[in-house]
Amino acid sequence: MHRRPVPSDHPRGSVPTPATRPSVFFRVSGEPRLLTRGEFLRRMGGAGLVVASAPLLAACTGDDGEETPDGSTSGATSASVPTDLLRARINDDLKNADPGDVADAPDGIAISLAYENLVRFAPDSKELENWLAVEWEPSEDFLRWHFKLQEGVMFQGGYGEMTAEDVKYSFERIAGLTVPKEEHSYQSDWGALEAVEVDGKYEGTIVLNSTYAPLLTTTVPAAVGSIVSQAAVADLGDEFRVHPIGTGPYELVERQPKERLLFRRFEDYWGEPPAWDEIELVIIPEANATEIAAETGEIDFATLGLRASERLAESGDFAVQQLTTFDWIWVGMNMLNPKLQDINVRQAIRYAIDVPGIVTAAFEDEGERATAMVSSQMPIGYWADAPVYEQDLDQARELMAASGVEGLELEIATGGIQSYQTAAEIVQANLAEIGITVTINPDEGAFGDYTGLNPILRELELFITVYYGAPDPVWTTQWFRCAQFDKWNWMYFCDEEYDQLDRAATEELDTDKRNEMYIREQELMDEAAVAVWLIWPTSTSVTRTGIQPSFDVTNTALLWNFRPA
Amino acid sequence: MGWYVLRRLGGGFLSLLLVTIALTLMIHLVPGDPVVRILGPRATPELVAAVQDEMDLDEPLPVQVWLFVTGALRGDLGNDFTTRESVMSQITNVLPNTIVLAVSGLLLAVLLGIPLGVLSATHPGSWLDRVTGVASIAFTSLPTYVVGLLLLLLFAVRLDWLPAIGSGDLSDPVDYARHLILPVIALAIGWVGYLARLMRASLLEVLNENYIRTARSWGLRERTVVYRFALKNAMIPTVAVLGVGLGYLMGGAIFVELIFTRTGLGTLAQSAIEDRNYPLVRGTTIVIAFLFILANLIADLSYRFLDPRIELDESGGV
Repeated sequence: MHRRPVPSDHPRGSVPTPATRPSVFFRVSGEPRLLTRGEFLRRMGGAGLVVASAPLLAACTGDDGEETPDGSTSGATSASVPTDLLRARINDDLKNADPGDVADAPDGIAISLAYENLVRFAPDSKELENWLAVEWEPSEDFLRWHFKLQEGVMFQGGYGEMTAEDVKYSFERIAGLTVPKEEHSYQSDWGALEAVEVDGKYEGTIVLNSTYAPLLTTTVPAAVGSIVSQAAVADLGDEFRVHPIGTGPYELVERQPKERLLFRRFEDYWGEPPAWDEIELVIIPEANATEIAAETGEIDFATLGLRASERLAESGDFAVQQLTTFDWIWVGMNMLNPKLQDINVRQAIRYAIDVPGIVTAAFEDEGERATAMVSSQMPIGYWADAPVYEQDLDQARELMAASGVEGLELEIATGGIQSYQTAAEIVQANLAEIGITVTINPDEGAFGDYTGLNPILRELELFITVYYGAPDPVWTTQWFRCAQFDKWNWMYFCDEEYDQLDRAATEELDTDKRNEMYIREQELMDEAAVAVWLIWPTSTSVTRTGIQPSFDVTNTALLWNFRPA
Repeated sequence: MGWYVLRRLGGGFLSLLLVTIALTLMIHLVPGDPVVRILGPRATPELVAAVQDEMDLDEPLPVQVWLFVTGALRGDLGNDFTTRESVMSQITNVLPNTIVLAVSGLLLAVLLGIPLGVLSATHPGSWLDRVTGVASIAFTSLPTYVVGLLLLLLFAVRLDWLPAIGSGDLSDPVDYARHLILPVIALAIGWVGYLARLMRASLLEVLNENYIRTARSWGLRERTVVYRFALKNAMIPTVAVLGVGLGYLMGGAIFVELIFTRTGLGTLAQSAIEDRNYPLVRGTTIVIAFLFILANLIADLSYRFLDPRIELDESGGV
């Protein structure tokens, strides 16, 4: 694990040890956050992993992590790798890099370069550590979080020193507590925020109106926890969306729309200087063009498919990184649809589908076979004993006979995504074996991009889709509450116990209890037989040989922490 | 001439107006609430209302058309939904790249295609004519994207002579030119073949005209006959095609931009379509239509310089 070095005068968080604080999580208040489209949620969705806050914070009190496992330090350079310019591919231009409205993966990359948070998950680690906060202390009831800031931290662009007023503004603006009130997509992430009290130039207290479990997983260490400059936001207006101004190690110095973004090392950065002088984000929408650009030496890092990555690695010029995600891909069954209301039919479908065949043929084994919703990578909520449904056509036929349904014709929607299309063809062949005729509907835009789906949601029969997870199970389970009908609950699964558990789990501070709750939720969904879980996919990227990559807990590339190997 | 120009300008404006109306109506052809389709089911009522207001969708249809047309005349094509940037500024940022690419492609096609056609016509039946004929047909048959990919693989990937992606930096002319070479060849090569065939046929026809025979009978040198008397008339059909050609090259430039990951109108339109960014789709479409109409207008007007008889035709026919 590599940790970013901290100046020797950077005091570590004086937080309670595990012995004095229980393992806790904090309640979600108000409407849960809804997923946005695009890959952002796959990569950024909120930093952090489901781990107990106190032990994590306690970790911050120890050694300051300057050394990497091999003993090298961040910013060290190798004679063989030039450190003037690092070039990474992004698949689109900035759309909205405002921490309150992050739209897509490139925005997340830009945010990771320009902004910093009070606490963070250490790079390449699941350990939480202090960052801009040198102290971080919760109250007994976990409703008040006192913080003390690192002094002398400057904002980019000449916007002065960061103070507690900036922290107050950063969080309250997203929560809609400022005057005039601002509207932000991720307002609900700060839904539990009552106020940020400023106790001094470098001190303050986050005051919550209720406990909030994901505070230290998908809020404070995530994009929505980025500290912005109030002056910069006011000064830049709408331009702030595409011109991030933070305290981070790199500042945006040039943006050629649809072409590239150039970040330069921030001269007044308070921490250890990063390795590269400049980082260029090259906008290449197409995967094939990305592969060519890598071959011709025009980029040093890219997220690509496994096969393309392996091809590049064959040359010896690139190394492949395959990282697990919190995402899950599945075949959903709409319980509202009269054709699928009989549980025997749904169970028959579940027994008929050859999941390992789909994982291999459609997804090229790029991931792990899913047995439930919550990814095996999630320490809380993973159902290790979930039933594994192997293809059993005899059982499936018996269930169809029990249902009394004959000549069933179903449609499966794939959103036109090639891998889903292949998966649908296998489903089509599998279900034909038990007398179900399946028509594949590659309805453009239905699932790859959620827009436009709403009018046809209730008419869905079968569908294949992916939801992007974040390092807290609430990001996986909340979409299947009854209140999510016509939004994200496309299976129209509704269970009172599930809803009750899911709400309670966001308030429960004991991780073991929370774990049990999420597992029970998945049991309920399994009993209803509304889904055939296919795969927890991995994310693959390539890095030029001689460069040591770095990733955060959500597998977003931390370009600022790349270093010569 | 004045009346003719006015008529052509009026026709061009009418075409643009029709495109504008079609674009305004287009969004209403989408099933369901167009704003919900754009913003998705998560959109709050406030956001939906704001977008409706911004796109004037809460106005009657004729008012929507009027507001868009008057806005476009002022250079206001609305704002991008996602970045909140002005559509016009986004287009003007990338438009030079597309125009440079298309015009460079046209120039290359003219510089190679016309001389090849002339050489073929002046040496009919020779090996040069035969080689040019075969090459021209081959060039014309090759789709732009195939040529682009082949050039990319050969000169960028295999030989590593030229960059594979990007538009280069305009402030560095050498860098910009290096990024331009392969895309321009990919774009122009089909038109080289086409212009060569067209020029050859046209010149051969002119060379059989009576006035050319008369010129030859006067004992004028063949070079004078061809280049002074025949070529100008033989150019007329070629110029007519060039006007349309520039429009098509703008279209071809979109493919080329995608293959070479060049910033331009094509890549802008493509990403706008993917994102359902309606104001940007509308803006890029109207600008492409405008450029197409403008190119044709210029071609029409250029006839006058090649054939002064057109000036006398005040009825507007050519």
